[in-house]
Amino acid sequence: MPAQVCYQLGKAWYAGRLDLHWRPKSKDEIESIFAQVGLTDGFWSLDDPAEM
Amino acid sequence: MAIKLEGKDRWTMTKDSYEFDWRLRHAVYRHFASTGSAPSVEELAEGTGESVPEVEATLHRLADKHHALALAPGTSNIWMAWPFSAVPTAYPVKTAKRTYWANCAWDALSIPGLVGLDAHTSYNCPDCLEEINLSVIDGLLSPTDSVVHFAVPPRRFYDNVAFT
Repeated sequence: MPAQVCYQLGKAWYAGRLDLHWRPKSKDEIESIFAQVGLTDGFWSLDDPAEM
Repeated sequence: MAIKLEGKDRWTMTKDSYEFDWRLRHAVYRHFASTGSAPSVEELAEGTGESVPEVEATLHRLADKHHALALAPGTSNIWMAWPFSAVPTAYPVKTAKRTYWANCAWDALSIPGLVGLDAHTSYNCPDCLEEINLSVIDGLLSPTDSVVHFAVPPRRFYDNVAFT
């Protein structure tokens, strides 16, 4: 992916990571982050292709 | 460096283990952000007032149950607290204050924003070995003409964190 997209992904993915109240993201939250930066193809799906 | 937790960051002996897990995670990340290195188990115990066995058990829960960090295999030593690495890697992130070590190119691009500092990273492309130099100044990445390759889909990120 372009470095700029990777940079934006990193900002969204790690947002709040230094905060006391950070918790692991839910599947929906992760998919929302990927969609925000345009990562919507199958590679970025959290669903296992073998189970689809 | 000892981590001193004060005020609302200080917990008591009556805390439940779940709450303790996340407070210890926070202490680990604060240490990484302020020093560039991982705290030792002993430093965490001293800084929190907890015993070494309690800190070790909590670190293993954070790694095995929550995937919030990774421990060096067979030990209780912190190895990775993404995007930070506890050991030198091929992805240094240099700021005016200190050098951080990232686990991969993605993490190298993520550290400047996370710590809120201008930074420069230089590494060799794993494919063609060309040297890649990237800076983040005032929140802007430059240059932007390189690419980052993800070899592992996110649904497999934690299958083998060293490879990922």
